[in-house]
Amino acid sequence: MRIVPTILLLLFFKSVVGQENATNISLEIQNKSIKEILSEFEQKTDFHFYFAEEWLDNKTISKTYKNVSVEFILDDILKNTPINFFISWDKRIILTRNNIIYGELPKDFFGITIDDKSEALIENETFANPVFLKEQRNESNLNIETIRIGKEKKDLSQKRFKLTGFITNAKTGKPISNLAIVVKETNIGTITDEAGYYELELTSGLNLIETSSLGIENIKRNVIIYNSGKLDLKLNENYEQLKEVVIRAGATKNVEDTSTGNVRIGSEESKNIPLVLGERDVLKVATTLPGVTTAGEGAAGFNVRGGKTDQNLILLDDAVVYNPSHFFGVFQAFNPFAIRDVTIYKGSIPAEYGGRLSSVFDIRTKDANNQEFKGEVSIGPVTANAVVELPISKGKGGLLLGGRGAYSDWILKSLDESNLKNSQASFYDFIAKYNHQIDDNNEIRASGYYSRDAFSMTSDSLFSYTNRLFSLNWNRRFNEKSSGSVLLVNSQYQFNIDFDGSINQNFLQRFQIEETELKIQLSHMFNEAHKTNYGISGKLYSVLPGKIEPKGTDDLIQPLSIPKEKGLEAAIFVSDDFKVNEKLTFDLGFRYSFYAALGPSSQRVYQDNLPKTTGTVIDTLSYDKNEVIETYGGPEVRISARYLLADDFSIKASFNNAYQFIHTLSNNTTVSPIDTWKLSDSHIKPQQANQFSLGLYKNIDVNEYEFSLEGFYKKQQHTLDFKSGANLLLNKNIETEILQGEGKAYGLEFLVKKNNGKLNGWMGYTYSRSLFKLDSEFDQERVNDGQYFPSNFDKPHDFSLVLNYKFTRRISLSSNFVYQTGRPVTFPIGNYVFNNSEYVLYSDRNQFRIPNYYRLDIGINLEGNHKRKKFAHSFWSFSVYNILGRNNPYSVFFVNRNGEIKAFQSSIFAIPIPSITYNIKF
Amino acid sequence: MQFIKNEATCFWSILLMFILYGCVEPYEGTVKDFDDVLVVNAIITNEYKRQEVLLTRSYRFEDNGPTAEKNATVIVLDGEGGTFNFEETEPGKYLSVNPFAVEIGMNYSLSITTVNGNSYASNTMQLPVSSTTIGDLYAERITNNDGIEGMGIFVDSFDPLGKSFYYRHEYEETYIIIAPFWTPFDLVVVSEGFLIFGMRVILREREEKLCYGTDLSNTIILHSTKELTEDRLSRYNVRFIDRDNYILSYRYSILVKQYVQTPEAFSYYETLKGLSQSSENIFSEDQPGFLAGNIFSLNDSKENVAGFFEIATVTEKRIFFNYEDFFPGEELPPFLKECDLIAPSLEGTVGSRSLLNAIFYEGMVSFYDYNRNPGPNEGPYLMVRSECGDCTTLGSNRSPDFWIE
Repeated sequence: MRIVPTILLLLFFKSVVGQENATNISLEIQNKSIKEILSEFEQKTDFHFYFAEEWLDNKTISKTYKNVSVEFILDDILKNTPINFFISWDKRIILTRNNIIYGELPKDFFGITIDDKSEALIENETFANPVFLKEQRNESNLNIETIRIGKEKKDLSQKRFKLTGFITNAKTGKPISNLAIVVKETNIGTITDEAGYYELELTSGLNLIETSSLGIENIKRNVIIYNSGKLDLKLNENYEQLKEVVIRAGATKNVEDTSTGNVRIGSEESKNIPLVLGERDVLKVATTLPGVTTAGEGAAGFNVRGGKTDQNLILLDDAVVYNPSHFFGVFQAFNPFAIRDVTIYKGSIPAEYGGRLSSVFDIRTKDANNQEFKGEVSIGPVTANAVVELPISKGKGGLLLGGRGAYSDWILKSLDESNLKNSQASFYDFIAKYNHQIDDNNEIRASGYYSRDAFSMTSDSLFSYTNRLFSLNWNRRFNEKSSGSVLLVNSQYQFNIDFDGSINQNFLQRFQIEETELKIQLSHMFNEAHKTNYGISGKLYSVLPGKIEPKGTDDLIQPLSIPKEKGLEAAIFVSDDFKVNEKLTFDLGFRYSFYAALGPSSQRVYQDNLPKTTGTVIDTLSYDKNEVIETYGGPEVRISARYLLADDFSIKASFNNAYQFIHTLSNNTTVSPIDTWKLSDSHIKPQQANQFSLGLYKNIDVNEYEFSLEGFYKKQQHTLDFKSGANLLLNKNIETEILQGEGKAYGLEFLVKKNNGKLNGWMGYTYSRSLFKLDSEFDQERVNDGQYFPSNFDKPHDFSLVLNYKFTRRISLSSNFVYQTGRPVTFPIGNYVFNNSEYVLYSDRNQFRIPNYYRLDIGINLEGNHKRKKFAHSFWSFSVYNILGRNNPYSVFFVNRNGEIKAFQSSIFAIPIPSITYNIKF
Repeated sequence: MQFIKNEATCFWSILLMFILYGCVEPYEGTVKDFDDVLVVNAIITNEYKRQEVLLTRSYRFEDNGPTAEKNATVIVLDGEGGTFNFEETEPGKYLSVNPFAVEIGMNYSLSITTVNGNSYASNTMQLPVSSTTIGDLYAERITNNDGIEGMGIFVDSFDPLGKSFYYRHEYEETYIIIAPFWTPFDLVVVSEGFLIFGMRVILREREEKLCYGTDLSNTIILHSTKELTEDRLSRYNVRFIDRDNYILSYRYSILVKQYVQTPEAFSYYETLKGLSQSSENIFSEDQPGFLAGNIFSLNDSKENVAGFFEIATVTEKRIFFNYEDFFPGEELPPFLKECDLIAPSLEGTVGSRSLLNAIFYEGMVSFYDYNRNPGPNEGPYLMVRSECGDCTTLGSNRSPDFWIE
């Protein structure tokens, strides 16, 4: 510090430049540090050095100089240090760190052009931009640590330099991503990427840099820029400020992001809504946001902006999850402690994703701590969870292991009711993830996941389903501007029915789908205005549509196996983040999707212009292994634009289209464990969707309140529906049961969030419609006379309110209120007699609605004390689900009881469900 | 912690009730709308006869049955200019004026004009095959898949041309009923006054001991041989009768009708069957909806018409068997109803003459015997449910024409 005034003084030395008093010397250096060299230098010559010892390290040099100038030697030995030197007329050599001592004043120092004598001298030098500090200094910055970057060079005319570096967690050594780095009093700032890497373009001289991020201390540094350079920072975690920081980080994003209809939910946020049966659930949080609904309580699968449940690409570390729930949707399929966050794309879907029409749920697991052992355990009324993080190679690699299970079976066994006693319902899931930072530029992540649900509805049939995923990801940074990744994922879903309750009709039934994907992706930042992301992906599907076999030798069931299906889905994609100016940005994405249905297979040929029935078959074609049966594909455009009307007010628009080559076969409104998936083939065309969105985003009170209003219009083609009473299981010729129609959805979504303060939360309201049309020239294939009719999940009004109130640091209350229009149903409206029997006459499809849905949940979190040195932090969660005890019908159905048609409603959580969970974190 | 345990139990009951049956209770909302649609029931076959078309209307749940669609004009066209006119013989029942049989290769369609002027037409239908035969129809004493013992009725059929594929069966079963508490005497009211009324025991005036009961099949029995290597029905079970069913008690006869259907008709029946077997299983909640057949309105495309115009190939076969043939020396199945004797009091005035009076006029009891040792509050006659003493409540006392002893 004390050196600073000296430098300023020296600037006014009247001196001559070094070249004039050229004294050539010879010097032999063997394993000597710069300090030692300099003292030897002093002994051998009459030069005197002035410097601070701490500037020089103890690295040794070996070199021989023969009859060269002093400048040459000094240049050479100091070239790898930030040290500059100045030789005065009286043979004093002044070393300076970073900055340069100029022998003369810059040309325009006094605001006028210096004429005459120095002109010749200046001529053969490029004009330099010396760095002056005094003009930028102010009082308050004096007690902030100052860092000097780069070595000032006389011949550099540029005024802006690049500052790069990595931000890591001081405790764990893990990179900190999404950390905001801002230069005070300017609008320069950036966010660190996945690897903690950042890049800033700064003006030379003093810059006051501030960082802010979720759970990380905010620091300030005076950074004096002399040249481009590197600044790595190790930051400490900061738990107390966690919540405030989370929201602030996402806050401006809301307005500034180019894309529409995206939400990111951190795992921590799921703490803020009341639990269902003691389980934290990120995906439940998603359903409180506009545009995402479920068909009802405990219904698996999501309907996003009027889309069907099979139109969501649900990814866990990039691997597709076919059934994202346990227990028919009561619980999410993932261990909540292993989840870092989920990003839901419901408006503009990035070009790198494809294959589903409505949305992408990008779920990411946490990176394991690579510095120390950590863990989290929770015990609830139905389930227990545990996650541990193990450092494998300190500072580089960490392993995360998670396990979760429901101990419901013993509860069932302890019940008095005999029909429940013989039932079974249990699930478990495991997750493992290894992350390894090979070096600054290479990183590997590998994840594996397995889940299994088993339940018996009656004591003689056991249903079970399993998800199995594996993903391997290698990220590489080529340079500051380019990076790439290679991804290999595999996922498998299967279900089994094991029926053992009859004398000779027992069977085993199975369905399985497996997919393997390879994706290579590169990103390159051409300049400030263009950031490009491009790549290719290929996915191979293999489906075992259904298989049934007798269980024992006595069983009379005919073994049946529907032949395997195979398909290849490939895509090439490119997207460009194009920043036209500060106000206007575009995200231009393009994707070409290609699909081929592959043999071996035999495909029926139906008579043209007749419905597809067994009676209209005219031929059967057979295809060899890997022979192409049919190909589909087309371009997909993903465009969005943002215009900043003010710093905290923007308008965005987007257009999106997509193809989907895989479909669920389900008669149900909700996802059922016995839904099967079917690949497109010569009869089943891919589904297609086009979506337009337009939105306004406004933050007020420095991002304390966020408002957004988004409208969308979506048109779908070739959506799948089924003829009434279709038999989908074990059907060899499923195309005879399938109807492909059109869908139309539109809506307006309003969301207001209060991000911090004692009272925080959000309120969402959506008005939307979701309609389908099944028209055909054939009566059997027409529904509701070929007119648009409401879909099973058409809920025009959807309101949710999530509020949290923090009484103290340790006690917080959360509440969640939901109101939705009842979903459409088809009711029987009368009887008729046909062939001596009485039948029920049904109304047109979805002509009626079940009663409206509403529910209030309340939860209280009680945290232990926040002592820093405590071994473990623990907290209790109490919650009551459906505290009003509202009996929300899930479905209404009609049963013929003794010749009389009676209406019944089934509901799931008709009474308040309390639960208590104990969580411990170490 | 007792509280928590109870709650958990409660929760689990609910969750499992949901899994097993759902948490089910009567629905309190109302279904106001009622759709009054025309129901067409027409199966025109290759059997030479006066063909039949039934026209009814749908009806509300609370109504007892359909109303007939009267005075309609019904015509079947054969696609080559031929028309078959129908006439209404009973309300809603239209028979062809002349007998005819449908023939292979012709395109038949149905045309209906109702009395209010609305016109309806069907798609054209063809006879699937020119004939079909039931190779064998037989009964066997079996134990079914659910472990219940009884009589199985089986069909063997084979189409050497391999063109039939879609089979539907109907049956008509006729059986002897013997009223277990029948006596040759009957109790009749001879006079009735305000305070007193007179009754007398007389000899029965008609046969009420032995009757012939007749039931028609009321489920949809379908079978496809499309996926089989041969177009063959082998030991195809069309009917199973529990050995405890009283209809087996004496002599039993079954007439099985075998229809060979067109793919369209088969798929209609298949769907109808699926929709009518409403299941409470949460996983197989079908997508219900109005089931359109092949008949549509010419005036208003939005008007729904239920039912189907079917052209089918038909054949039939009948067999007889006795209980003794299969269950020699074994105990008879229990009678349809419990037959308890009662002795209602005769006291009371007109309009409130206790049981006897009320029940007598509703024909719910039958005389059995005098009450020889009446207890307190008992009347002088022993009565029994009418099914137990009078077989005509269950069947006809006339022997059907086809009946062979």
